Amino acid sequence: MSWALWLALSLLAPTELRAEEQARPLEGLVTDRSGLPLAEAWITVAGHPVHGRSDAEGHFRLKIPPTSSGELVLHVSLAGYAEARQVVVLPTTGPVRVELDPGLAEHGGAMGEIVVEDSEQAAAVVAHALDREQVELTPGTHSDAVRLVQSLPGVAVTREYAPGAGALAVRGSGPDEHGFYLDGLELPFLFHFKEFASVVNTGLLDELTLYSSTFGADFGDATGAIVDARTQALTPTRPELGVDVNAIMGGGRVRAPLGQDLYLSASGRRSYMDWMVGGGSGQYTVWPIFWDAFVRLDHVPDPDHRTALEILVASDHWERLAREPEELDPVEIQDEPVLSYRHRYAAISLVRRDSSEDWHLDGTVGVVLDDWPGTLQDSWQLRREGNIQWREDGLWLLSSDLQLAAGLRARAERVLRQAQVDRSWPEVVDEAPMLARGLPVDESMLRLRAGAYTELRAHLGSWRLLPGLRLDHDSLTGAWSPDPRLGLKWRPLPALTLRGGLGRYSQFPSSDALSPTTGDPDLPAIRSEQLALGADGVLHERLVLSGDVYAKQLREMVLETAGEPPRGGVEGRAAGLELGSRYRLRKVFFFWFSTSLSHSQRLLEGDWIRYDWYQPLTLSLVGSWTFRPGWNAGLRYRYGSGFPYTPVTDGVYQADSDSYLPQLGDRNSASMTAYQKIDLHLERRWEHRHWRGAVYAEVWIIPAPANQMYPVYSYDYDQVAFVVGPQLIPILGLRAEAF
Amino acid sequence: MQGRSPPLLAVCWLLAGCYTPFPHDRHDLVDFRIVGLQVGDAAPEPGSRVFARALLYGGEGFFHDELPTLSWSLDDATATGPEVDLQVPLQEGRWELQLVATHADGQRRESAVLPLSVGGSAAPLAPPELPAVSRSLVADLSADSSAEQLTLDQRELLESSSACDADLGGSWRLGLDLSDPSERFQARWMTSGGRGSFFELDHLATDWIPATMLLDDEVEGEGEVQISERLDAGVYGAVVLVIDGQGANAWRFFDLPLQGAEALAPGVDSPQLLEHAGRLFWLDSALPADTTLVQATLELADNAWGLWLTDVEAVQALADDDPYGTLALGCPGPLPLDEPFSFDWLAEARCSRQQLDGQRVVLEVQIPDCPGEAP
Repeated sequence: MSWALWLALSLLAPTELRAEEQARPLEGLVTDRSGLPLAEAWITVAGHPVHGRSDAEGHFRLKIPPTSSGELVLHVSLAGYAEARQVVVLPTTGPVRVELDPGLAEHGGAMGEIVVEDSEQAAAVVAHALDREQVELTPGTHSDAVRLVQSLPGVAVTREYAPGAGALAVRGSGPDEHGFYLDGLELPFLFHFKEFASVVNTGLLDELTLYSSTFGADFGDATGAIVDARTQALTPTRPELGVDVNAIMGGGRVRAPLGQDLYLSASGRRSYMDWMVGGGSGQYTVWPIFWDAFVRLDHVPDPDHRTALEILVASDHWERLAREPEELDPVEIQDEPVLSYRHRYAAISLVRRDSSEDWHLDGTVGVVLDDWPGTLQDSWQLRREGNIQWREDGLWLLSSDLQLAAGLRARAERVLRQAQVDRSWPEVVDEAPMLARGLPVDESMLRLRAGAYTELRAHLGSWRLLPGLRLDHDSLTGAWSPDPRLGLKWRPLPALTLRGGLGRYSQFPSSDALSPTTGDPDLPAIRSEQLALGADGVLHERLVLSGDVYAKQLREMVLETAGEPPRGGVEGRAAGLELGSRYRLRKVFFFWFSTSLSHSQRLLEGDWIRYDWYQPLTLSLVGSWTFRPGWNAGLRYRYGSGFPYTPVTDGVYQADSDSYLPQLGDRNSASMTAYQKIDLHLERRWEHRHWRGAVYAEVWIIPAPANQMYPVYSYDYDQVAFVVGPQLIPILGLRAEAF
Repeated sequence: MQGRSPPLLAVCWLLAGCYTPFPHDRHDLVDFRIVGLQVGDAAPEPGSRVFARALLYGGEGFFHDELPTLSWSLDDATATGPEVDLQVPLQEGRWELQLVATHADGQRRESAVLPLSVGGSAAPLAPPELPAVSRSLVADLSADSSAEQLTLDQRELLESSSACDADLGGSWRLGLDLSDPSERFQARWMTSGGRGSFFELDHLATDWIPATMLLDDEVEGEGEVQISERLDAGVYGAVVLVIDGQGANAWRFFDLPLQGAEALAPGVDSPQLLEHAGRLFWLDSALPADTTLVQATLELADNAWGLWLTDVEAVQALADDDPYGTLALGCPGPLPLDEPFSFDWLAEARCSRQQLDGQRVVLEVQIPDCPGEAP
């Protein structure tokens, strides 16, 4: 199928490419630590379809577009060696020398880029990334790359262990407005229980890129941000083992060659507090249990062709009393119904990459089976979804300063929704929304979503233009979404880049929102027009300063309220300013600072109200210093304005049940206190020939006024209090790898 | 943004979310509040009339110095007053009887809803007849009991015995002996001022410990017991509300005496107990043991009922006209003329305390041997 796509797109491409002599050569040499040349090393350039291989003497030669200036990021990989990432400053004064280390990668090596630091090379106007060194050494993340994204500019600062602690709210858009992809596949949920740890083991991640807004035409069906995660495609020469244990979970991973150009990567993790706590607490009859497992089988016949079979399984489970024990008397606790909550999925995909000197094609075909049952007394719900996803992305080098990106995407899904319930259970809205709604449901929905895009990436002197067009269709809504987009970059000075992007973005409502029983089948597609402008400046070659402004308008949004049908046709708007700076000496020191001012509202019944994740001011500061060999200290500070919440203004006595029904005030009209958190990290590492390990201690400090997590109310809703989290959390962690 | 967080994580006791407990729970009557609604039939026939009344706590006791305003509605029918009858809608289905009670200060307002199943039942869904609340002493349960001793399993093993009063620190076991002992009916126990602590035993019984107690761990039987207040000797007014979940509600008042009657009536050599609709009074002069009807003067008092009885004397004969003197009370009512005075009228906002102060009333009473035994 990819060949058909390649053929079709090739026919669209100009038949005459520009003369190669316009490209500038970049020459280099790949050696091992002892200086011996290494042949067959694979060299790629981040953000460019330029690549090559080292010859028998270790030499390589790449054709760099003449308009490229400033820094290029080279990735050099070779079976049996850790992948190297090397920054090259153009113009070069001589051959670039790249040294490869044997065995597992060191920090910042094998993992490559996990998420971006702003890259001038990136096709998108705004993209952020971090790497393994930053993920492991930044305190307060449980070594979770996705968690660290929450420290990037424009991302809401969530409260540790509060509901939604793992949620990503970016540039005035909530978690439901984003797209999350793992190797091209959309996943049902990203965080265990929406707050603990992401389902993807950081130890297996290769790239994790956050596109805050105004992303390119290659992504669709999202009006917020895109998180694009890529797992590692390693080619180890001998088995390698790794172990990670942190405060909430433990697990291991393995990589091994299987012969016949086959390589295996696998990991498994599980929470362990249920073993320590035993049978549960007063409310949790089964303590929260989550686990995930990932297997990747790579077939790499040559550097130009790679195919991987991936299997990801994730599961969450707990059982709890429907109401808080504090609300119940001793007899009621015995009779209180127990909610059994499970949510698990399996994603199986075939990921393929084919490339040559002038093009590459990335393809993903996958099946996701998502199972979400829940029982409560005699009531139960079942949401079962199976979907098939297919995605092809191609990039062609039409000339030295012109590239064509194009691709297709399709997703066919069947959603089974069943609920047997005779009353509303608002107490379980997060875990069993159909039971919370209280309506019997028995329906099945078939749906096909498909899209195609094309984007030109052109260099015109110091300008870079990225015009694109995307077209999506959804069978359930019947909507077509032609979305034009444009990205611009201008480099008037070697140390200054100006960026801009605008476009239209569309997102189709969820199948649940379109349910004929509990939703509204007439909901149209959500539309958004977005504009972003930014600038990056480099001082003294290492200190990077950046600033961004953005604005977005949203139409036909869907607003969900617990226990009510979705409300469609809602308008929204968001605008903000982001400032950041970063400085880095690899393996020694890194620092970044970012602050965001934002404003995001929704129009509800004629009044502009704050959106659910409204946070007008955020601030993040991260620093890490390897102050002597084997010792590292880190600091992270986060500040975020208090999230809004909808207060309960009164309770109406229900005389038949001797209970109270809350009366809600204006949506999001109250705010919690501002949040701030200080994380400290101290790590000791050891490295030997066949193993390396690290133990670390962290202390998380959340000053008392800032540790509010969510409001709770007295039995009659006359009084409000806030559940607060601990102010001091000590943590010990362990990492070990053998190879 | 509202939701539930798992209590968890890592070092669980360190990481569990918590909050300062609210000073009062649903057992505590401390402010103006609708305690219960009652209708004659919670499953009325379409087009019939349904009688409704409310039990209100005034803020300081089961009385109101100035009467609150009670506004009722059922579909298009509306009415005002402590007891109303409203036209039931003609259409079958689930309808809501609504009440808005506005305190005399005009500031405090409470709302209540009682769903009615119109035409939904072949038989009337009438309130249950409630017997007097039984009281027995649980000697092994006190404010000094540990969290483990307070667990349901442990309390079920404790014996209770009849007693006239509970010593300081002693505890009462309370129960209702309904004709229908099934779990269809649930009792909700409440004290005026939120005095003491209830620990339910089953759907119709509870233990009451004369101290304000708090368990600092949600896991049953674990943690420490925090005591913020031990009750002094006295009599503590309470009410039990019985619900069946379908709108058949009833309530019954009772007193919880703590320490001997002699100690509660200082200077009185042999105080005699008098019980009126679950409430206990001490008299300084004896009445015949078979007395069932007395005449007494109501006097303002600092107790849960708002009034005390003085100049109590047995009634020998009733007048033909207004036999119980109800009309003379001047209450806005409505009041049943063929029944003697009831302290319930204060809690149901039929009479204000100020209106009754100094009034001479006729009451039905019983002379128990001691408050621990049902007369």
